[in-house]
Amino acid sequence: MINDLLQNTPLITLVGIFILLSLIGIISILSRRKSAYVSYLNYIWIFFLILVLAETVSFYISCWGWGILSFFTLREYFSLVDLRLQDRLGVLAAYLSIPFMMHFVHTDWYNMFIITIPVYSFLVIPFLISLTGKESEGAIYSIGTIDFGLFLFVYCIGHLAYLSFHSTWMTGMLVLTIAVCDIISLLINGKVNIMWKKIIIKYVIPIPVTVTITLLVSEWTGIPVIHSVALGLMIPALVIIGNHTISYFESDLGIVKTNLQPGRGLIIDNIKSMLFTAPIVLHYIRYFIFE
Amino acid sequence: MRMKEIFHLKIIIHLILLRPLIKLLFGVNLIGKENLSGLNRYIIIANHNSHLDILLLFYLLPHKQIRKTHPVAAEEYFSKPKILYRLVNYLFSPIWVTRGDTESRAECMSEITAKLNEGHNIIIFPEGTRGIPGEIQTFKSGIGRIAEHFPHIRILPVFISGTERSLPKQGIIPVPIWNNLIIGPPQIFKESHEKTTHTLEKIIHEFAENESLSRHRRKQKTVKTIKTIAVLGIDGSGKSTLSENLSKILSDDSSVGLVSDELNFYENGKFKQVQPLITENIRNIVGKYAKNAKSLKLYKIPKLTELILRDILLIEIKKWYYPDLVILDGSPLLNLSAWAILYKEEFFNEDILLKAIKILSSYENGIRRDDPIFKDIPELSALKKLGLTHLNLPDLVIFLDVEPQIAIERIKKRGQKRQVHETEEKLSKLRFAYVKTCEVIKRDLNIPTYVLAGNDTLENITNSAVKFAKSEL
Repeated sequence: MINDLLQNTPLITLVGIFILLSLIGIISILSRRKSAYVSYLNYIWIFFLILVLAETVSFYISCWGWGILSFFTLREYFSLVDLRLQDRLGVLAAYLSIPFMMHFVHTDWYNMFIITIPVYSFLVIPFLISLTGKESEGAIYSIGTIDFGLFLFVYCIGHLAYLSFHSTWMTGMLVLTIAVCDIISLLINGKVNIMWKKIIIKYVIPIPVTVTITLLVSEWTGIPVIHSVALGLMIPALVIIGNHTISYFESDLGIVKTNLQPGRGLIIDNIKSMLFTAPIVLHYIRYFIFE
Repeated sequence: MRMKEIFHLKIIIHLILLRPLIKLLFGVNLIGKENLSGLNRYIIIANHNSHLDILLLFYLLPHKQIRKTHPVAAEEYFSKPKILYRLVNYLFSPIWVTRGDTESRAECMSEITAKLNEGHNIIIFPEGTRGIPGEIQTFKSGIGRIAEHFPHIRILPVFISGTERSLPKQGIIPVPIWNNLIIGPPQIFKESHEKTTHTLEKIIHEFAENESLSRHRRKQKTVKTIKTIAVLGIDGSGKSTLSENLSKILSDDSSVGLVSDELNFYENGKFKQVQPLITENIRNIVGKYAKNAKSLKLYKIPKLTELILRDILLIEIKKWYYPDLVILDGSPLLNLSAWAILYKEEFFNEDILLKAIKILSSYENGIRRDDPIFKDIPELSALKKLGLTHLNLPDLVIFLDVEPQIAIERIKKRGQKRQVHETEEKLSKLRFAYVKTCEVIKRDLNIPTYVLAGNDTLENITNSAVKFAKSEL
């Protein structure tokens, strides 16, 4: 009995975090108070829901969960950018590359997964736009816009899905550390105004927590101690870089930070730190641990 | 009883099938939903871009009112496959109206009255039909009339955005794009129907503007626009002199190109020497040939060629010399349309004139290929087949209105050989055609047009023309 419990500690922890986040969500719905923290935690809840589904039900379902998440994010992005009406077929093709991508994740076809979007989608989309486009003006802009969205919101989230194919615990660790970094940076945001000070504080403060987390779960994830420490040091830096990059073009997309709504930047704003971290962590792990 | 109302199949389909489908596939943002709470009998008006609009408006209704709401819909769009007609009829129970049929309109009006008296709600798209994506057309006055008829019923203005991109008019496959519904506060209008319609249109425009302000926009290319002024008038009305004077005066602070019998350029009020164009030489030869024609039939083809060459010349001027302003002694497009009166007088009326102008300038694609105008005036279809229907619409039109007798006298004074059409009868016909043309382009194409009385002194005419041109440019 106790042995069973000990063997299942990772799952219990995962489900525990999930239940905690669910409670926070339920309380926030009941109290009808809106704050940046709660809306952020609600999106982290989605990640944990997908992970719990992968571990308790089946990986297949969780794979589609990732697919739906990237569909929602991509849809929000396409609603925000200014695309011509002639580009609609290209947009449709961008959406259609999600199921292909998730299928390759599910079947563990790594090579195909890694080339679907950068090779096939990026070639097919300009072709389709050239078929439906009436005038050439603005075509480069449209193709670039669609490709960038596809890369960021499907390819990068796909990396998270592939990581969860390798190991749910690694993904859980990644999401948890990112969440910690994000919440700390949310706390700091209003208080420090000088840029370089803000960056240093945002990097230094989460490190003890992230390194502790990666070390604590290193037994479950199977990552050696040294790489756990390296990841603990790396993830906060990647989160800062990702956050900074996406915040940089958020206002160009028309996202108003004070008035975030679904469809108007809420999803992108809440999952932005995953986008840069997931691919790099996946390739780090694949390079140092699996090979 | 209440439970029975809710568990109606139609409501269940709406709640379980249509709403989740819209929410998951497209995503909906409702802004100002509190404006709808507690309301019972109302008219919803919205801009119309796509077939999805009606689904979205039903998305916003409280579920008790789903069965009590009726959109006004055009029958011809949904009547074709019978299953579609039945489905739409069942899901939305619309009030059908046949477009362009006064009888059905009256019937529809009485049905609206009946439904409102029963305590039901009405959804109306005052634009009438789905327009150009992202643009709001002028509202039809029907909504104002209904508001006038029911002064105590609230009107909810709703602005829908996103559907013009997810399923535009020409689109077949819907593309997932987030939709936003902005619901304005319900209002009661107690003014005349024109004023109500206008106010509602203004409200929707304001919503649209606010929405577009926050949106990401790509940079537009800025291209120098070259304006064209066309001086119209029958032969001998003095339009050549007027256009020459006009170009001299207007070139004070800009460069002006003048397309008359010759091509001239003016800068800083002075004549400017430029390299002549080949098209110009060809045009001169063809023009001379036309002037020496002995009958109207022989005159037709050379004159047509001359006019088209004149238009090509305009494009070449814009391409090579880019002046700020081009003054045309007679616009090729408008001359061509007006001259139809000499050849096809039996068909000549304002409708045909407008259609001809639209076809010749490729103004819009609203005219079908099997339109009777192509049969009545075969020249148009010939020009269309040759791809010569891209004539330039002038930005400004000045018409010099002179009595035909005076014009004939002036022509006699010149001492030149008279052209075939320069008789009093034909000139008065032409004058009538030009007046009609000016009316049509002013009313239907919104081009500023100025009619000058030609019996004034040349100085006065020039001054008022310059004043008009400066105020409109």
